[in-house]
Amino acid sequence: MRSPVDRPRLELLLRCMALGALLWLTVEALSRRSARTSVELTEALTEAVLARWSTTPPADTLSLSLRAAPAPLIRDWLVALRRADIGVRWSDDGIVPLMIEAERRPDPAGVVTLRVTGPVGAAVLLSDDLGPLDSLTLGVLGASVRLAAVAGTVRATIGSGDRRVMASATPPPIVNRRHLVLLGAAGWESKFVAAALEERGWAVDSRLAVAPGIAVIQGKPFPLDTARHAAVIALDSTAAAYAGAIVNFGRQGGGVVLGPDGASGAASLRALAPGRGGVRVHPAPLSGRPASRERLGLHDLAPLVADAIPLERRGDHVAVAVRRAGAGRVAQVGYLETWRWRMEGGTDGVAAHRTWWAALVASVAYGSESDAGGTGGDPAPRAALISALGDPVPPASRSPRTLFPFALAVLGFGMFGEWLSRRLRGVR
Amino acid sequence: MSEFVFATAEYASGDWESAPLVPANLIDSLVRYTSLSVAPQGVVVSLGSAELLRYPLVYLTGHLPVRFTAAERAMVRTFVERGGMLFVDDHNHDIDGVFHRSATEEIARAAGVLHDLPNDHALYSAFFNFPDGPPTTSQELNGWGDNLVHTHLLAVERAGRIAVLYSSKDYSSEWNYHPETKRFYAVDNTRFGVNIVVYALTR
Repeated sequence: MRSPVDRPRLELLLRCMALGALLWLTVEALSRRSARTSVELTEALTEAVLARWSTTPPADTLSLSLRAAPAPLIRDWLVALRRADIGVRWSDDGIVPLMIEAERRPDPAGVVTLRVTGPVGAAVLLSDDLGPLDSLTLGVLGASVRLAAVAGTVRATIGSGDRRVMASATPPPIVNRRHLVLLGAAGWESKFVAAALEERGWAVDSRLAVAPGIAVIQGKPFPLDTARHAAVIALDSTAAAYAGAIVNFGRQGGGVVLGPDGASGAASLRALAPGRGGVRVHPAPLSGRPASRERLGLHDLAPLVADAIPLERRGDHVAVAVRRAGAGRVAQVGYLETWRWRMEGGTDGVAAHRTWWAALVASVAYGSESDAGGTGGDPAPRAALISALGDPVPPASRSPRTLFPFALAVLGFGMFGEWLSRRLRGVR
Repeated sequence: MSEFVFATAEYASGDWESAPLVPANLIDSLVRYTSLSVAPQGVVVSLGSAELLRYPLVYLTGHLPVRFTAAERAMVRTFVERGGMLFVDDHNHDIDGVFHRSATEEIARAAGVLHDLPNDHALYSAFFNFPDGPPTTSQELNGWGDNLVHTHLLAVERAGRIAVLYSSKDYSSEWNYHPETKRFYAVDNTRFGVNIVVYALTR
């Protein structure tokens, strides 16, 4: 009786299976010729352990199962081991990706902006060398917080115990070597803007026009130079006499703040200004109620030039706008007589006026890169680990040796099956 | 740009209106010598009202004892804390007279203790130069009152700025004339008043 199975085809299939398994085993053996041994390590990574491995490696390849991101020193040591021809692979049990950035704003008060990113919804505890600072809940874009002062290294922590993940950053020291320049006519606005910024810690060099050809000069406002000055504030049209210097200062990286009439006196300043508007919005009546920024008179800056960004609006009107100008930034303020906010504001009027002006100046003030970003700490532990040691290796493919019995079984089954089939049909 | 408004303080005790021509005379000098935007008329502002905070430079004078009410004292404190400058002139031109004693006590309670202002202070070079300090008045030179020339003004300073400027030199008498009369003076004696205003507007 003829068999329903096509024996030669079956035998060919079995032979191919056997040859395939044999080929895989050969290739794997050749590729792992240098990795004679591999061990999976779960012990805690300490300097003592790493020192021992540096002199007597436990295996040619170390497979690390990490529960937390190693410290920078441990990470660097593992990189050194890898460069000493010791294979280092790692896998984790869900080390949370977390990053913190600490930016020192160009503000003598030492304001630091912290930005944290990580898993959406995670609760992050912020702390510095003196203790807890604040807590944040991360959103899609992370979270940020502006702190008046921090001491030493800032840390962002998620979780607790051995599941704790901590990122850290050290903001640069406070740099207060630059001055501000204030240009305008003598008046309450110039007086109180200078007072607010000086109270904040800035040194203000001013030139305040009093009469034709006569000005009250304090400090050394000219020549404008980014080596000495962080920003120039042109409050009114009297700044037009220095339009060329202001424009060049901005293009060289200096900050420029234009008051409502600061750009009105010169075409080059008008070209520099973010706003092209001119409608004056009259203030709400102040009688009987404290002044606030919302109730100041306003010079509507809209429409803006194409590359300008509105920072503050009041209804349909633009109150503050910024744009880039060469290497610098230009802000334009539409508020009129902000000094009334300080004098006639509520109990927090002085502080609010000071804080607002300081933040506005800090947003455009010249600050070199070395002034702004932090350098120390471990700002993104998991990202740094991947950068140093490569992607984690999934446990399933961690050790091809686990596939060896399966490959041998396929090889044996193929060879035996083919032999048996041939014998049963009487072929050698 | 807001214009400068010369404000005279009205207080509950004493004769606050004893030098009614001083505002007009100083306004005339400001317009004459500077390009500052100046309101043509001064205002009278109650020392105890929140309206005081609209005028960061306020002039106060009188002959009689000064006793601030609680509201006046609180408002003066708020005024100087926010950066205002109070110019107080003793209209009596004497030493340790009733105005001086009472006014300095009230200033100490509301704003702080007065001290001698150095004669090389920025106030004396804010616009015109007064290298010898505060200019003398005809009352001092003519031997009226205490027959003494007061060598210094007094001040309360906050954050490096004058918060209260106190004078015993009787500028209120010196400047209390119609501006038209100024043309008969060889040297305008209100020039120091311009310095006070310019200092207040720039420092």
